[in-house]
Amino acid sequence: MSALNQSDIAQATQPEAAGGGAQAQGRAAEAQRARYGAVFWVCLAWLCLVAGSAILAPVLPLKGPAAVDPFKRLLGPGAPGYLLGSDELGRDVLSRIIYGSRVSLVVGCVSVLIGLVPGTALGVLTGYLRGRIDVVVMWVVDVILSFPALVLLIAVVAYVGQSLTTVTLILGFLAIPIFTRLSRAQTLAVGEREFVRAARAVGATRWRVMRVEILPNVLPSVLSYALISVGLVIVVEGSLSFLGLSVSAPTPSWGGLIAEGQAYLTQDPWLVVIPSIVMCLTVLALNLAGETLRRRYETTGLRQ
Amino acid sequence: MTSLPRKFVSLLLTLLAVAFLTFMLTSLLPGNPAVALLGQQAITAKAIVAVDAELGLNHPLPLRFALWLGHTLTGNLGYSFVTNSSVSSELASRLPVTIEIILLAMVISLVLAIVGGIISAQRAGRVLDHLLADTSFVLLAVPTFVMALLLILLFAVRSHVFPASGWVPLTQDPFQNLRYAFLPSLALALPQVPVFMRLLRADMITVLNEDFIALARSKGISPARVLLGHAFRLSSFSLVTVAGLQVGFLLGGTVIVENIFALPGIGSLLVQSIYSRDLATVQGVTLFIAAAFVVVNFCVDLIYTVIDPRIRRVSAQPV
Repeated sequence: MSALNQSDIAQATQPEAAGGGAQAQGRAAEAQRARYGAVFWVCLAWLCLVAGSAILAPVLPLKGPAAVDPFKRLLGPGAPGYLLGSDELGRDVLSRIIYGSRVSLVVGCVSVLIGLVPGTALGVLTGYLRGRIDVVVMWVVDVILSFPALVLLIAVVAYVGQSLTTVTLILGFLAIPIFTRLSRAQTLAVGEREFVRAARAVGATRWRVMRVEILPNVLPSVLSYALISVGLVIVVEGSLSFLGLSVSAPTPSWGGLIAEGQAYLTQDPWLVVIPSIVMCLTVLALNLAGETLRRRYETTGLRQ
Repeated sequence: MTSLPRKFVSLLLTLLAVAFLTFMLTSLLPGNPAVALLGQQAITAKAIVAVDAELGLNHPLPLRFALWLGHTLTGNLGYSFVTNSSVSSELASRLPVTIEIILLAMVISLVLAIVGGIISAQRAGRVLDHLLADTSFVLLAVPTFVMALLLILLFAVRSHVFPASGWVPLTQDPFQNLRYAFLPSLALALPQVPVFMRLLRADMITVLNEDFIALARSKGISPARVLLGHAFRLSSFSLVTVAGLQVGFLLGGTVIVENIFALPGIGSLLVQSIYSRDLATVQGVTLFIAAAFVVVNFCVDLIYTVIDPRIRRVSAQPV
């Protein structure tokens, strides 16, 4: 979506940001591009922490996410043995959050991969070949995107039944047109550049041009957008499991934890607040990291 | 950027495709509507055949689509599997609530975004601008349902400024109606403020660097008038487009918000009918929301042509 076009903003602010001559401005921009900045590394560290604990969950010294203890109900955060408190059945909130992150991360990564691979391929194909296929594919893309994603998802889940596989597959399918649009736009921008025309002139086949010349220039921005879309998918999956339409009850998920805590909002708000914070921080980290990468590669990838 | 008749044809084709996709949901996806309808009752082959005949599921697929489309075009979205009442009239009675929430959310987010966008464009690169940019990044990461619960916690549980759930119709008591509508609308509005704000900020910074702004300033026109009368007006075009596109997001978000705040709108109808396996209602509501979204986008496209005369003159541009 054009609304997230940070590079326009960066470009527009540049005359004000760098007061010196054009050379100094160029050097400053170069330096900015070369470094990722502390925020990026903090985001990456948080993502590694979340992903690491999700993978290592069975090995970590945690209580089981389903281990009930009727004498340790609704303990506040910081209670001995319960770092983030316990819920209405005396289950450890920290353990449930970590096990819940497995659902979010699996759905997020797998469905983005499902959308990214065919989406990018289609986008590069239609963007470079143009013609009738382009018109037809883009029309189909417009039709699919004309469904509000969450509503379509809810409707399909209603028919097919709720399961991790269903939700992942539908989200992946919905991601295809988004990546098609993105990579098509990038292809259009790259397709007319000198090196592409040069490759054609020396006799490279269209297949080779797409694979060797265009794809490497499209991938960086597609991959950085992929990070942002993992965040988007986590939000959508969270919304679904909040409504009780994603993974079913005994399996903990972030949206499910927040939904369970809703009943205790008055007395024990931490049951909602803690999983919410973890979820928002993860999405924020994905957005910031993706945005940093995108800005970096968009300028280097498409520099004139 | 095509001519009006072509746009209209494309609108009709898109609507037809949307209708077809919605129809396919019931017909081609795994899961038998008859089995779902029978639910806890004894599922026998005979019962399934009976239900199939009652719903017309025993006809071939193209005929079913034609029949269904005919009904839909005459405003008949079928009958609820559970209450046996007309889906269209149920939709019509709930629609005002959803429309009010969406409109209010749109107004709130545009007001916040315009104020924030103008302030940060005017002070681009300064502290306040950075602060607003950081805030919008955080807002972007908060899902609607988390925002809704946070607002309930702050304004309904901690301080009892607004009610946590329920609804009073506008016709019954306008003031109470606004009190009940405010928190849901705010929860829907806040996550999209950054989208509008960043767009407006970028557009305004570009416009503020144009020569005619310098001319207006040098003529001695007050800064406020230059900012609002000259720069803002020209910067608001893409805002209109994106605001239209965001209606889709709002339609999705309203499903969540209506459920959290227990509002009698079409979003809560959708979720309730899923819980009760009322597939006729699910189909009707889905079709309605998707069609509404397509039509809204079409209208936005038209409005855009009217307010930005540049587009009318430019003939088909290769994108």
